[in-house]
Amino acid sequence: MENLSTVLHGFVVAAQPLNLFFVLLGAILGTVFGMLPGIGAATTIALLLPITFSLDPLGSLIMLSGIYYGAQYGSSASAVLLNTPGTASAAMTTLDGYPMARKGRGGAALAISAVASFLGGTISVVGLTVLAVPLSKFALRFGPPEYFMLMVFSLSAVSAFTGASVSKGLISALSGLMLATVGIDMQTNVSRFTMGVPDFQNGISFLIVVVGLFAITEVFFNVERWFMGELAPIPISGKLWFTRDEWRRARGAIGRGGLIGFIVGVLPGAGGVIATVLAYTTEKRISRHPDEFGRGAIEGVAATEAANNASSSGAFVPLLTLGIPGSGIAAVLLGAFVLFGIQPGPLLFQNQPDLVWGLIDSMYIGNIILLVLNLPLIGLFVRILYIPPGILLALMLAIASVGVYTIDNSVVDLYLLLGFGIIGYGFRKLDIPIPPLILGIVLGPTLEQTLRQAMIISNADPRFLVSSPISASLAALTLVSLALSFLGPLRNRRKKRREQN
Amino acid sequence: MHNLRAITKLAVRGSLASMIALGLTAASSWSAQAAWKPTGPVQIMVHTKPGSSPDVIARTVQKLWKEHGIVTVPVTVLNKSTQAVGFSYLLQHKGDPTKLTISSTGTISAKLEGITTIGFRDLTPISLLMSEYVGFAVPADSPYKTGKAFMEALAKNPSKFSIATGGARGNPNHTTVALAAKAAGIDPRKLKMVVFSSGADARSAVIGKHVDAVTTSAGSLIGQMQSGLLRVIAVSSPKRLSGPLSNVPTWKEQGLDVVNANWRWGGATGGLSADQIAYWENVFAQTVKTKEWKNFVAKKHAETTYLNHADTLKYFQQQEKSLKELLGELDLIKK
Repeated sequence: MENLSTVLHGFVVAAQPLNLFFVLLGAILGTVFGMLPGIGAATTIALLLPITFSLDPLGSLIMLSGIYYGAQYGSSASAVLLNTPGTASAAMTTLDGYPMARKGRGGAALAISAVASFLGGTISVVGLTVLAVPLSKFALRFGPPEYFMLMVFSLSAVSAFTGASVSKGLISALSGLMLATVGIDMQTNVSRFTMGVPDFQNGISFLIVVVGLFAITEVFFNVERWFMGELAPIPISGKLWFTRDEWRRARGAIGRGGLIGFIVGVLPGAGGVIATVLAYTTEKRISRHPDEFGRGAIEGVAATEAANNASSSGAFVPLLTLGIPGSGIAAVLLGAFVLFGIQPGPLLFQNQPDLVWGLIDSMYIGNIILLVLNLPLIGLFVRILYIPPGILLALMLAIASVGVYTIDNSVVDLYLLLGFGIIGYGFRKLDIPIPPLILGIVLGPTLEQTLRQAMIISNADPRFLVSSPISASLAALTLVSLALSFLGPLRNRRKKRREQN
Repeated sequence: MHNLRAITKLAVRGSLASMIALGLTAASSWSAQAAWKPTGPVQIMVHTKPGSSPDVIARTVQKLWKEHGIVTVPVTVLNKSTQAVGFSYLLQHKGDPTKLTISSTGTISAKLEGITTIGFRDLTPISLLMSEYVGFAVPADSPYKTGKAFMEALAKNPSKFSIATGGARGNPNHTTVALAAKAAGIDPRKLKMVVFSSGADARSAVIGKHVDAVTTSAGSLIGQMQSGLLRVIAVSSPKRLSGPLSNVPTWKEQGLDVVNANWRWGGATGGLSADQIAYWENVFAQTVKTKEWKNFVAKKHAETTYLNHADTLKYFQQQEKSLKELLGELDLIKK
């Protein structure tokens, strides 16, 4: 813990009119650009970077950081209303956010997103303020074996999604893992499953897969419903705010999601998407009604939104204390620091406390601004659902295609988008769950690469994978998690039998 | 060009006086017409993500061209996902002098490795711009104080040491260690290279002591060196770098003959005419002279290694030759 007066002095710095203006600007830019898939925080920051050279470094960093965590607020709006995640880390939000909107609870979903983002973000900034230095030492203990076991543990959550049929769950998870292998292999430079298409050399972008599986599939389904005459407009039921009962269900999820998001955000090798996957699966597993997940459970939205915001502030822990970015976007931010002639690290806290604490404290203010900014927008956003289906579906297609095209300016990506839309349609018709595929494609690359890194380091000794206390504990947790998923259904069956008797 | 031919025809036919008179008028109209200038928007294609080093260079260049009036037409930066995709985009616009690129050492290595079929001969390299040198670092409390000491220990037991690198095999980070190993009499294939997705991940693996050393851009090591997390024990520059890295000896000083860099070049698609090349050559020559460029390069702890069009081509040919040999020894050349 730093000297309290230095921390408080940061607020004085952050509250200077110019810096307040930069927080506001960053928050607005983040919210706007976060909504459109493709133009995420990384692109926005990179676009603005050359312009900021001539501005005050602290003000610029405050703004660029604001874009980073602000994008997490904006991305939930398109996820909930259009089934189109605005950023990769909002993919899990669509799972329950969109079903909530279809049930007429879109306003509540957006409200809980904003509140969860605010609370998750604030939990995380508090963590950043109090624990930055000790946590960064903990993060360094994560090497290839630890990350590998963390991925294995996360992947064991697939069992929570398999639903009625284990084989269908496995088909989905393995498809995800297979998709994750496409591209030039990092360790050997060998092209795998690229089929001679140069666009596949960098792998298949996660965002294309999720936008295809969610947004495009949804368009197909709605067109089908329209032909069958089943497509009814979605009535908005109740208030735009969440009910007391919904809040009771969501608040625990926000706390846990914020904590998980913060810890995963601190780890340099695991980003926001993995944080949301872990937060969501944790909620589903400890929930008393796991069946509601995927059908509009407010806990699902609350946990993922808290987690993705918390992870973005968590990424500042290794960034500021060690100069190691905790995510791809943090890496772009690190580039900004360097171009301003600022080298993050322990020395920065000693030499430029005003800058460090001004920046950190600006995040408290930024989160409040974002909450205030986003809440009134809910009333405006939910009106999107009143748009006639013929226009709304076209709008979804347009946003999804434009967003995906802007990732790499590639037409091949549009074909992929369509392809994943068709695959998603098939999966839903065949009742194959989609979340395991998402887990596979998110965790797959890290799972594979960290295993191979560990094998190179240890000269192919598998014992190395469980040789540290952290990786051994994660392995034990995986076993517990697998055992629970077998025991759960067993207990249910026994209970049912007892009830029948 | 047509006017030039006209000049020669006329010169043969006419008298000395009329030749001089005609020649003067022809020459003035020639210079007015032939000095090609872009009239429409210009695009700089970058085959890496927004925020990556070539992308930031392109955006910095874009900004200073406008501010200094070096290029007066609008300039945009276009990001493509991979080198193969980006270069084939340039080739689709062959002969279009407004399709530029900022690229790197990968231009030569990716072609040799068979990752792309398009090489620098299909494009128009205009000028080498800058070089980012490669640093070699160990954890701050490592027993190895010099690059040479590390290599000597590694020679005795190659399977004991793992070296982290960011990006991919065959990039300058990897080739620098491979060259150092070769110079120390070690088979570079025996190096245990652990590839991480970024230089930052590779650095954190060394700070956490999961690997024994890291090879990555020298500038990126400064922060952690100053914080006492890492010890930089060699740099790949021909002479010592300035600033915080000035205490770090080069590989050469340590008796291992290694000079290597990740260089960046600016150029255009293939099929440009001589006056179009001359225009862009002049643009890049002016670019590297600006204060903003010098500041930018200094902040990156890199060096401006400007070469004109002809010298850049010569440099590429020479780099291609040496990389071909080295990548062959590393089994990275596609057969």
